[in-house]
Amino acid sequence: MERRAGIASLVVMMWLTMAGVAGAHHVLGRPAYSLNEDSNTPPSMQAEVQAGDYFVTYMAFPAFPRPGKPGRISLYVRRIDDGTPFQGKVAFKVRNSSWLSWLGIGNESHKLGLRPPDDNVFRQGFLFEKAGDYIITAEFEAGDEPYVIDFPLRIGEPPPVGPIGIAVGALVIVLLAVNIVQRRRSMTGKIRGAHEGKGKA
Amino acid sequence: MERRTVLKALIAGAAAAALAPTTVRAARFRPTLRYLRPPGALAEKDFLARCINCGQCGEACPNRCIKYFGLENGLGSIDTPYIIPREKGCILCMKCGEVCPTGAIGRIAREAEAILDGVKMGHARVDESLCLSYQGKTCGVCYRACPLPDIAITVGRLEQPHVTDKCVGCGLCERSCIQMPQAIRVIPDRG
Amino acid sequence: MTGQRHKPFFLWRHLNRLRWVSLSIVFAMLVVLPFLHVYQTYVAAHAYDLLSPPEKRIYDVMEALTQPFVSDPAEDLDAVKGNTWSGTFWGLKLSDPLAALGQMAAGRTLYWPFLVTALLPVAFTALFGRFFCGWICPATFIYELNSNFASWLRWAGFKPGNRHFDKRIKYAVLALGVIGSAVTGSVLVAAVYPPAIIGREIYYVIALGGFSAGMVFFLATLLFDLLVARRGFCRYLCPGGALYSLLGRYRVVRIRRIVENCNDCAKCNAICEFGLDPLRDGFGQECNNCSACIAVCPRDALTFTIRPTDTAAQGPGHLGWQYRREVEAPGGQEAREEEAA
Repeated sequence: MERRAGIASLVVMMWLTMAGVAGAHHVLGRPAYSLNEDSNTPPSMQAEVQAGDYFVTYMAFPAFPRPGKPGRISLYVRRIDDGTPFQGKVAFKVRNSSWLSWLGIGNESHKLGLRPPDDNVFRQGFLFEKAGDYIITAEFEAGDEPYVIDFPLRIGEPPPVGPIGIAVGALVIVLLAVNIVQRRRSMTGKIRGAHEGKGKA
Repeated sequence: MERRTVLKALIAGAAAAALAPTTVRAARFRPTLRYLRPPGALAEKDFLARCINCGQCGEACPNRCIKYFGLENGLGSIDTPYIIPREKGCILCMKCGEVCPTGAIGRIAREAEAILDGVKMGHARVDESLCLSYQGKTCGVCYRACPLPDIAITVGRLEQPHVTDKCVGCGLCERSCIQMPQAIRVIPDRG
Repeated sequence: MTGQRHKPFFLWRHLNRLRWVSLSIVFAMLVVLPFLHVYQTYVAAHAYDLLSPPEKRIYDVMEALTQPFVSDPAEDLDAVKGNTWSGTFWGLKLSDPLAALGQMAAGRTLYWPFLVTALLPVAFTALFGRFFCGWICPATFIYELNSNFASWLRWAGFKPGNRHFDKRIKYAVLALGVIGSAVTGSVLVAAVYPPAIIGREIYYVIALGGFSAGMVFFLATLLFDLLVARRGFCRYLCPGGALYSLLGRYRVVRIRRIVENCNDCAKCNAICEFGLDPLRDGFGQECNNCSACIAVCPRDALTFTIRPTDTAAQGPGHLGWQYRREVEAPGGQEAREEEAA
């Protein structure tokens, strides 16, 4: 959905009148490109976490990876106090994150790889054959402290409607159908129902 | 998409709580949210007291950068507006403040001076160990994305960006950064 | 007392239908406004060529709808924003009185620019009572469909619950909501107030894609109404309904029974969504002036009147058997002569 919302706002041109003030190549309120495949910047999903002494940034590229297509995780680990990037190795693991796995079924993790930094960034490729929700775990050891960080990863299109959506959709259809088909009966039904209810109360 | 995960997150939380006593492993960290409030928003505490969750700011936003919290940020901020700058920055059109009925988002004129005075969503910070320009690969995309160029951000040799104190934290630079992960990011200032 | 035949209000038969028109318009607005917003963002982004086919359809439909009225959709369509909780209509900002109360409690200050937006609704409530609940509330639209569904279930052989609780519970909910807002410093009543939830969630699902936690709450209230108590949430729990009831206690426009026309058939009591007692002149502050009882009455014995208080109980209807036995029989001849005179 976000993507569709995104395609929309590709070239938001606000206040053309401001152009004179802003100069040659900038406008106050320059277009904000959206998170989708057509963006001029690499579309990627991002997550951040402060873990102990470190500030960790995770990105998955592309933002909407598909089954059978390769993708890449970029992980950046930096000390919070002095900002120096972490230079050790990071192990990447993956496990399923479906409903079943919350019950402990099929949630064993598989190793993706062990990566050294490349220009301060740990890059791990991936290729999933099956669509679904996964959890990427990044593990590293710094200052004798183990760090284990979970990040979500969605492969393929998410189901178009979630459980709430299905419930709402079904309810709307039932309500409309009953009310349209049984329009006349509803009045007498209410009256009869109220009388019955009174008898009981 | 994010909202659909609310239920799942609840269940996951319950499951984690149930499992907690048995797990003796190292602490697992989960992603946190770095979010901005819409431009002109009051300091966080006052903002929460003022916002009535009517959703008009999002409906007024021509850039659709304003989203709404579910339960992921606690019950107190449920249905309040937020912006994730990496996904979509604020274009400083100031329409949300105009439409806000409670003044939770203040009214600020659509002028550079008023915006510089009134908007303080955060402050952009460049990570020099990531920034391409600082690695010798001339880039300058953030400077070109900035709605207040030469005021909020200046460039030096090799288009190396320098953020000034005037930065209002709209997040357009962070959105535009071509490095992965982004080398410039807005540190929120929610007061 | 007897003798004079009261003429019912001239639109009496159609008021209930008019109410449905009003409810439908409000609900339709809540659906159309998010689409208009999405359309505005497409226009502002000059993005037509980049849209996917379903998005193009939204664009085309909304363009066709609005083209006669606006020249610059991205700006002009900003005239109407929001929902029944708080909205903007051509510069006029209106808010639910509960929003004002909740915000006052949460902020513990009086912020006048916001409070004045609730003045008009408060004034209308003082005049027309809980009319919001019957004529505007987008949740009422669904709740009434839901209670028709319950009566259909009954017809189909299921027995949905029809329990009764104390109507004063909702005042406790209101008090709790206000206290909770004050303690947490966040407008919590908005999270348990169905019209606010509906307005938000419709926007979320259309513009942002996906429901929030509020929808789960609303579905729960629907199930409660369906399985436990008819219109249970509005009758017993709604904090906004409680506030409107209090504000509308001395409403000027109210429904009155014309005892001379009444035959004690009790259809009014049965149809009343709020479980009131029109048959015995028991309207009280809960009545939302929905006029369903006026529409269902076979004897035109219910009408609108302009009085700040209810008529005291008038006893059995003059066309009913009870009245004939108790009043007419002892001095039957006299009573008939009086009526003739």
